Amino acid sequence: MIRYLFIAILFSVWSAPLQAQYYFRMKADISIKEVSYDGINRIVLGKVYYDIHHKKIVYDITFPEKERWVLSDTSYYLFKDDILVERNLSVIFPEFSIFHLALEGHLEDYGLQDHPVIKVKDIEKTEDGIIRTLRPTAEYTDNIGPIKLLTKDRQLKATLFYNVSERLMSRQFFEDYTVIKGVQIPQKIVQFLYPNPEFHDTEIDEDQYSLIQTTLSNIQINRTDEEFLYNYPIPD
Amino acid sequence: MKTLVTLVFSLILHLSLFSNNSFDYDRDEVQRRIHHLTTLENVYKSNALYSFDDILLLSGLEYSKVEMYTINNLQRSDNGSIALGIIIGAGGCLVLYLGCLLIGYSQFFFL
Repeated sequence: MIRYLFIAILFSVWSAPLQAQYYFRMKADISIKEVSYDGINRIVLGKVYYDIHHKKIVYDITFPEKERWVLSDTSYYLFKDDILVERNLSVIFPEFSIFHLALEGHLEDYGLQDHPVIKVKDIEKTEDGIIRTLRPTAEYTDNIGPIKLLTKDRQLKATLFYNVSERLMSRQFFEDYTVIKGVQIPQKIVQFLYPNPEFHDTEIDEDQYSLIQTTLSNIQINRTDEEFLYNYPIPD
Repeated sequence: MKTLVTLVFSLILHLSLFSNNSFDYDRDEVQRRIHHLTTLENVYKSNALYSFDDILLLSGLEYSKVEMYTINNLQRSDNGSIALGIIIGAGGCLVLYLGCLLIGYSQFFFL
Protein backbone atom coordinates (compact mmCIF):
# COMPACT_ATOMS: atom_id res chain seq x y z
CA MET A 1 0.00 0.00 0.00
CA ILE A 2 2.80 2.37 0.98
CA ARG A 3 4.62 1.46 -2.23
CA TYR A 4 1.61 2.42 -4.35
CA LEU A 5 1.23 5.63 -2.40
CA PHE A 6 4.89 6.43 -2.95
CA ILE A 7 4.57 5.77 -6.69
CA ALA A 8 1.46 7.97 -6.86
CA ILE A 9 3.24 10.82 -5.07
CA LEU A 10 6.29 10.39 -7.28
CA PHE A 11 4.19 10.56 -10.43
CA SER A 12 2.22 13.56 -9.23
CA VAL A 13 5.41 15.47 -8.43
CA TRP A 14 7.16 14.39 -11.62
CA SER A 15 4.20 15.24 -13.82
CA ALA A 16 3.81 18.76 -12.46
CA PRO A 17 6.28 20.32 -14.91
CA LEU A 18 4.78 18.25 -17.71
CA GLN A 19 1.34 19.76 -17.32
CA ALA A 20 0.21 21.83 -20.27
CA GLN A 21 1.68 25.31 -20.19
CA TYR A 22 -0.82 27.90 -19.13
CA TYR A 23 -0.45 31.21 -20.91
CA PHE A 24 -2.44 33.98 -19.35
CA ARG A 25 -0.88 37.31 -20.18
CA MET A 26 1.07 39.09 -22.85
CA LYS A 27 2.95 42.35 -23.14
CA ALA A 28 4.52 43.82 -26.28
CA ASP A 29 5.80 46.99 -27.86
CA ILE A 30 3.30 48.07 -30.48
CA SER A 31 3.23 50.44 -33.41
CA ILE A 32 0.07 51.22 -35.36
CA LYS A 33 0.34 53.04 -38.65
CA GLU A 34 -2.73 54.04 -40.58
CA VAL A 35 -2.89 55.44 -44.06
CA SER A 36 -6.51 56.33 -44.52
CA TYR A 37 -8.40 56.48 -47.80
CA ASP A 38 -9.56 60.01 -46.94
CA GLY A 39 -5.99 61.27 -46.60
CA ILE A 40 -5.76 61.13 -42.82
CA ASN A 41 -2.64 59.36 -41.63
CA ARG A 42 -1.77 58.33 -38.12
CA ILE A 43 1.07 56.76 -36.22
CA VAL A 44 0.83 55.49 -32.66
CA LEU A 45 3.62 53.97 -30.58
CA GLY A 46 3.50 52.37 -27.16
CA LYS A 47 3.04 49.12 -25.30
CA VAL A 48 0.10 46.77 -25.13
CA TYR A 49 -0.92 44.62 -22.16
CA TYR A 50 -3.44 41.79 -22.10
CA ASP A 51 -4.49 39.38 -19.37
CA ILE A 52 -6.78 36.52 -20.26
CA HIS A 53 -8.65 36.77 -16.92
CA HIS A 54 -9.30 40.49 -16.91
CA LYS A 55 -10.15 40.60 -20.65
CA LYS A 56 -8.93 44.17 -21.05
CA ILE A 57 -6.64 45.29 -23.84
CA VAL A 58 -4.60 48.11 -22.36
CA TYR A 59 -2.56 50.34 -24.66
CA ASP A 60 0.04 52.45 -22.89
CA ILE A 61 0.68 55.04 -25.61
CA THR A 62 3.82 57.15 -25.65
CA PHE A 63 3.50 58.80 -29.07
CA PRO A 64 2.14 61.17 -30.29
CA GLU A 65 1.20 61.87 -26.68
CA LYS A 66 1.06 59.97 -23.43
CA GLU A 67 -2.32 58.38 -22.88
CA ARG A 68 -3.90 55.03 -22.16
CA TRP A 69 -6.59 53.29 -24.12
CA VAL A 70 -8.53 50.44 -22.57
CA LEU A 71 -10.79 48.10 -24.51
CA SER A 72 -13.07 46.11 -22.26
CA ASP A 73 -16.24 44.25 -23.19
CA THR A 74 -17.92 46.59 -25.69
CA SER A 75 -16.38 49.82 -24.43
CA TYR A 76 -13.39 51.94 -25.25
CA TYR A 77 -11.89 54.17 -22.54
CA LEU A 78 -9.35 56.95 -22.99
CA PHE A 79 -7.30 58.04 -20.00
CA LYS A 80 -4.88 60.93 -19.69
CA ASP A 81 -2.85 61.12 -16.50
CA ASP A 82 -5.06 58.30 -15.19
CA ILE A 83 -8.15 60.47 -15.58
CA LEU A 84 -10.96 59.18 -17.80
CA VAL A 85 -11.54 61.68 -20.59
CA GLU A 86 -13.57 59.65 -23.07
CA ARG A 87 -15.75 56.58 -23.17
CA ASN A 88 -17.24 55.10 -26.32
CA LEU A 89 -18.64 51.92 -27.74
CA SER A 90 -16.05 49.60 -29.25
CA VAL A 91 -16.50 47.07 -32.00
CA ILE A 92 -13.37 45.18 -30.95
CA PHE A 93 -14.10 42.40 -28.51
CA PRO A 94 -11.07 41.49 -26.40
CA GLU A 95 -12.01 37.79 -26.62
CA PHE A 96 -11.54 37.99 -30.40
CA SER A 97 -8.28 39.93 -30.27
CA ILE A 98 -5.11 38.25 -31.47
CA PHE A 99 -3.79 38.51 -27.92
CA HIS A 100 -6.58 36.42 -26.44
CA LEU A 101 -6.69 33.98 -29.34
CA ALA A 102 -2.90 33.50 -29.37
CA LEU A 103 -2.74 32.89 -25.61
CA GLU A 104 -5.58 30.36 -25.85
CA GLY A 105 -4.05 28.72 -28.94
CA HIS A 106 -7.14 29.47 -31.04
CA LEU A 107 -5.67 31.96 -33.48
CA GLU A 108 -5.61 29.37 -36.27
CA ASP A 109 -9.42 29.24 -36.43
CA TYR A 110 -9.92 32.81 -35.18
CA GLY A 111 -11.78 31.36 -32.21
CA LEU A 112 -14.70 30.48 -34.48
CA GLN A 113 -14.29 26.70 -34.59
CA ASP A 114 -17.16 25.95 -32.19
CA HIS A 115 -18.96 29.25 -32.41
CA PRO A 116 -22.71 28.86 -31.80
CA VAL A 117 -23.71 31.42 -34.46
CA ILE A 118 -21.04 31.21 -37.16
CA LYS A 119 -20.44 27.83 -38.77
CA VAL A 120 -17.98 26.49 -41.32
CA LYS A 121 -19.88 26.03 -44.58
CA ASP A 122 -17.11 25.35 -47.07
CA ILE A 123 -13.49 24.22 -47.08
CA GLU A 124 -11.24 24.57 -50.10
CA LYS A 125 -7.61 23.55 -50.55
CA THR A 126 -5.55 25.97 -52.63
CA GLU A 127 -1.87 26.64 -53.29
CA ASP A 128 -2.01 29.49 -50.77
CA GLY A 129 -3.43 27.26 -48.06
CA ILE A 130 -6.80 26.12 -46.80
CA ILE A 131 -9.70 28.53 -47.25
CA ARG A 132 -12.60 28.08 -44.88
CA THR A 133 -15.84 29.94 -45.48
CA LEU A 134 -17.97 30.57 -42.44
CA ARG A 135 -21.53 31.77 -42.46
CA PRO A 136 -23.98 32.71 -39.74
CA THR A 137 -26.86 30.47 -38.86
CA ALA A 138 -30.18 31.30 -40.54
CA GLU A 139 -31.49 33.63 -37.81
CA TYR A 140 -28.42 35.90 -38.09
CA THR A 141 -28.05 36.24 -41.86
CA ASP A 142 -29.56 39.75 -41.73
CA ASN A 143 -26.86 40.91 -39.31
CA ILE A 144 -23.67 39.02 -40.08
CA GLY A 145 -21.97 38.48 -43.43
CA PRO A 146 -19.70 35.63 -44.43
CA ILE A 147 -16.15 35.28 -43.15
CA LYS A 148 -13.25 33.60 -44.91
CA LEU A 149 -10.14 32.30 -43.20
CA LEU A 150 -6.89 31.34 -44.92
CA THR A 151 -4.62 29.01 -42.97
CA LYS A 152 -1.33 27.45 -43.91
CA ASP A 153 1.02 25.28 -41.83
CA ARG A 154 -1.45 25.54 -38.94
CA GLN A 155 -1.12 29.32 -38.92
CA LEU A 156 -3.83 31.84 -39.66
CA LYS A 157 -2.58 33.83 -42.66
CA ALA A 158 -5.54 35.99 -43.59
CA THR A 159 -9.16 36.80 -42.83
CA LEU A 160 -11.84 38.34 -45.03
CA PHE A 161 -14.98 39.87 -43.59
CA TYR A 162 -18.01 40.68 -45.72
CA ASN A 163 -21.16 42.57 -44.89
CA VAL A 164 -24.60 41.04 -45.33
CA SER A 165 -24.63 42.25 -48.95
CA GLU A 166 -21.49 40.17 -49.58
CA ARG A 167 -19.40 43.31 -50.01
CA LEU A 168 -15.82 43.02 -48.78
CA MET A 169 -15.38 45.10 -45.61
CA SER A 170 -12.03 44.00 -44.22
CA ARG A 171 -8.95 42.02 -45.21
CA GLN A 172 -6.36 41.14 -42.58
CA PHE A 173 -3.00 39.49 -43.17
CA PHE A 174 -0.98 37.94 -40.35
CA GLU A 175 2.75 37.81 -41.03
CA ASP A 176 6.15 37.26 -39.41
CA TYR A 177 5.00 34.65 -36.92
CA THR A 178 7.19 34.13 -33.90
CA VAL A 179 6.99 31.62 -31.06
CA ILE A 180 7.46 32.96 -27.54
CA LYS A 181 7.37 30.31 -24.80
CA GLY A 182 5.20 28.16 -27.05
CA VAL A 183 2.77 30.93 -28.00
CA GLN A 184 2.56 31.53 -31.73
CA ILE A 185 1.87 35.13 -32.57
CA PRO A 186 2.19 37.23 -35.75
CA GLN A 187 4.43 40.25 -35.35
CA LYS A 188 2.93 42.10 -38.28
CA ILE A 189 -0.74 42.53 -39.10
CA VAL A 190 -1.74 44.34 -42.25
CA GLN A 191 -5.38 45.29 -42.49
CA PHE A 192 -7.34 46.79 -45.35
CA LEU A 193 -10.56 48.41 -44.22
CA TYR A 194 -13.14 49.23 -46.86
CA PRO A 195 -15.63 51.99 -46.16
CA ASN A 196 -19.21 50.84 -45.89
CA PRO A 197 -21.20 52.67 -48.60
CA GLU A 198 -24.27 52.58 -46.33
CA PHE A 199 -22.58 55.14 -44.07
CA HIS A 200 -21.45 57.51 -46.83
CA ASP A 201 -23.41 59.98 -48.89
CA THR A 202 -20.89 60.03 -51.73
CA GLU A 203 -20.00 57.21 -54.08
CA ILE A 204 -17.34 54.84 -52.71
CA ASP A 205 -14.99 53.14 -55.14
CA GLU A 206 -14.14 49.53 -54.49
CA ASP A 207 -10.43 50.30 -54.55
CA GLN A 208 -10.75 52.87 -51.76
CA TYR A 209 -9.50 51.52 -48.47
CA SER A 210 -7.70 52.44 -45.29
CA LEU A 211 -4.46 50.63 -44.62
CA ILE A 212 -3.50 49.79 -41.04
CA GLN A 213 -0.21 48.13 -40.25
CA THR A 214 0.29 46.91 -36.69
CA THR A 215 3.65 45.59 -35.58
CA LEU A 216 4.46 43.84 -32.34
CA SER A 217 7.95 43.46 -30.94
CA ASN A 218 9.63 42.56 -27.66
CA ILE A 219 6.73 40.20 -26.90
CA GLN A 220 6.73 38.88 -23.34
CA ILE A 221 4.51 36.14 -21.94
CA ASN A 222 3.28 35.54 -18.36
CA ARG A 223 5.17 38.38 -16.72
CA THR A 224 4.02 39.08 -13.18
CA ASP A 225 5.16 42.67 -12.84
CA GLU A 226 3.12 45.73 -13.87
CA GLU A 227 -0.03 44.15 -12.49
CA PHE A 228 -1.69 47.56 -12.52
CA LEU A 229 -1.48 47.80 -16.30
CA TYR A 230 -2.83 44.31 -16.96
CA ASN A 231 -5.90 45.14 -14.88
CA TYR A 232 -6.18 48.85 -15.44
CA PRO A 233 -9.07 50.19 -13.34
CA ILE A 234 -12.10 51.30 -15.33
CA PRO A 235 -15.37 52.74 -14.08
CA ASP A 236 -18.42 50.46 -13.70
CA MET B 1 -36.51 23.32 -58.93
CA LYS B 2 -35.66 24.65 -55.46
CA THR B 3 -32.40 22.69 -55.49
CA LEU B 4 -31.53 24.06 -58.91
CA VAL B 5 -32.14 27.67 -57.80
CA THR B 6 -30.03 27.11 -54.67
CA LEU B 7 -27.27 25.58 -56.79
CA VAL B 8 -27.24 28.49 -59.26
CA PHE B 9 -27.31 31.03 -56.42
CA SER B 10 -24.40 29.26 -54.67
CA LEU B 11 -22.44 29.20 -57.93
CA ILE B 12 -22.96 32.95 -58.52
CA LEU B 13 -22.02 33.70 -54.93
CA HIS B 14 -18.98 31.48 -55.14
CA LEU B 15 -17.82 33.17 -58.35
CA SER B 16 -18.45 36.64 -56.96
CA LEU B 17 -16.44 35.89 -53.83
CA PHE B 18 -13.57 34.18 -55.57
CA SER B 19 -13.44 36.26 -58.72
CA ASN B 20 -10.88 38.58 -57.16
CA ASN B 21 -7.98 37.04 -55.31
CA SER B 22 -8.68 38.74 -52.01
CA PHE B 23 -6.09 36.67 -50.18
CA ASP B 24 -3.29 38.48 -51.92
CA TYR B 25 -2.12 42.06 -51.89
CA ASP B 26 0.59 44.24 -53.32
CA ARG B 27 3.20 44.33 -50.58
CA ASP B 28 5.29 46.96 -52.37
CA GLU B 29 2.28 49.24 -52.55
CA VAL B 30 1.62 48.77 -48.84
CA GLN B 31 5.26 49.51 -48.03
CA ARG B 32 5.18 52.59 -50.22
CA ARG B 33 2.06 53.96 -48.54
CA ILE B 34 3.35 53.23 -45.06
CA HIS B 35 6.88 54.44 -45.75
CA HIS B 36 6.68 58.01 -44.49
CA LEU B 37 5.10 56.85 -41.25
CA THR B 38 7.93 54.38 -40.78
CA THR B 39 10.40 57.19 -41.36
CA LEU B 40 8.66 59.28 -38.73
CA GLU B 41 8.72 56.35 -36.31
CA ASN B 42 12.46 55.98 -36.82
CA VAL B 43 13.00 59.68 -36.28
CA TYR B 44 10.99 59.51 -33.06
CA LYS B 45 12.75 56.40 -31.76
CA SER B 46 16.20 57.67 -32.65
CA ASN B 47 15.54 60.59 -30.27
CA ALA B 48 17.44 62.74 -32.73
CA LEU B 49 17.21 66.48 -32.97
CA TYR B 50 14.77 67.34 -35.70
CA SER B 51 13.05 70.50 -36.74
CA PHE B 52 9.43 71.37 -37.08
CA ASP B 53 10.02 71.64 -40.81
CA ASP B 54 11.24 68.04 -40.84
CA ILE B 55 8.05 66.98 -39.12
CA LEU B 56 5.92 68.91 -41.55
CA LEU B 57 7.81 67.29 -44.37
CA LEU B 58 7.30 63.84 -42.93
CA SER B 59 3.76 64.25 -41.85
CA GLY B 60 0.56 65.36 -43.41
CA LEU B 61 -0.66 63.64 -40.30
CA GLU B 62 -3.95 64.26 -38.63
CA TYR B 63 -2.87 64.66 -35.02
CA SER B 64 -2.08 68.08 -33.75
CA LYS B 65 1.11 69.51 -35.14
CA VAL B 66 1.21 71.80 -32.13
CA GLU B 67 1.40 68.75 -29.87
CA MET B 68 4.10 67.28 -32.05
CA TYR B 69 5.95 70.54 -31.97
CA THR B 70 5.75 70.47 -28.17
CA ILE B 71 7.10 66.93 -28.06
CA ASN B 72 9.70 67.92 -30.58
CA ASN B 73 10.75 70.95 -28.57
CA LEU B 74 10.82 68.97 -25.35
CA GLN B 75 13.13 66.47 -27.00
CA ARG B 76 15.17 69.27 -28.43
CA SER B 77 15.44 71.03 -25.05
CA ASP B 78 16.32 67.75 -23.29
CA ASN B 79 18.95 66.95 -25.83
CA GLY B 80 20.04 70.60 -25.85
CA SER B 81 20.56 70.56 -22.08
CA ILE B 82 22.64 67.39 -22.29
CA ALA B 83 24.67 68.77 -25.17
CA LEU B 84 25.20 72.07 -23.33
CA GLY B 85 26.31 70.17 -20.22
CA ILE B 86 28.79 68.16 -22.26
CA ILE B 87 30.14 71.31 -23.96
CA ILE B 88 30.50 73.19 -20.65
CA GLY B 89 32.08 70.15 -18.99
CA ALA B 90 34.47 69.52 -21.86
CA GLY B 91 35.26 73.25 -22.11
CA GLY B 92 35.99 73.39 -18.39
CA CYS B 93 38.33 70.42 -18.59
CA LEU B 94 40.12 71.97 -21.56
CA VAL B 95 40.60 75.28 -19.75
CA LEU B 96 41.91 73.42 -16.69
CA TYR B 97 44.26 71.34 -18.83
CA LEU B 98 45.57 74.41 -20.68
CA GLY B 99 45.94 76.23 -17.37
CA CYS B 100 48.00 73.41 -15.94
CA LEU B 101 50.12 73.33 -19.08
CA LEU B 102 50.64 77.09 -18.91
CA ILE B 103 51.59 76.97 -15.23
CA GLY B 104 53.91 74.03 -15.92
CA TYR B 105 55.62 75.75 -18.84
CA SER B 106 55.86 79.08 -17.03
CA GLN B 107 57.46 77.35 -14.08
CA PHE B 108 59.82 75.60 -16.51
CA PHE B 109 60.75 78.85 -18.26
CA PHE B 110 61.16 80.87 -15.10
CA LEU B 111 63.30 78.22 -13.46
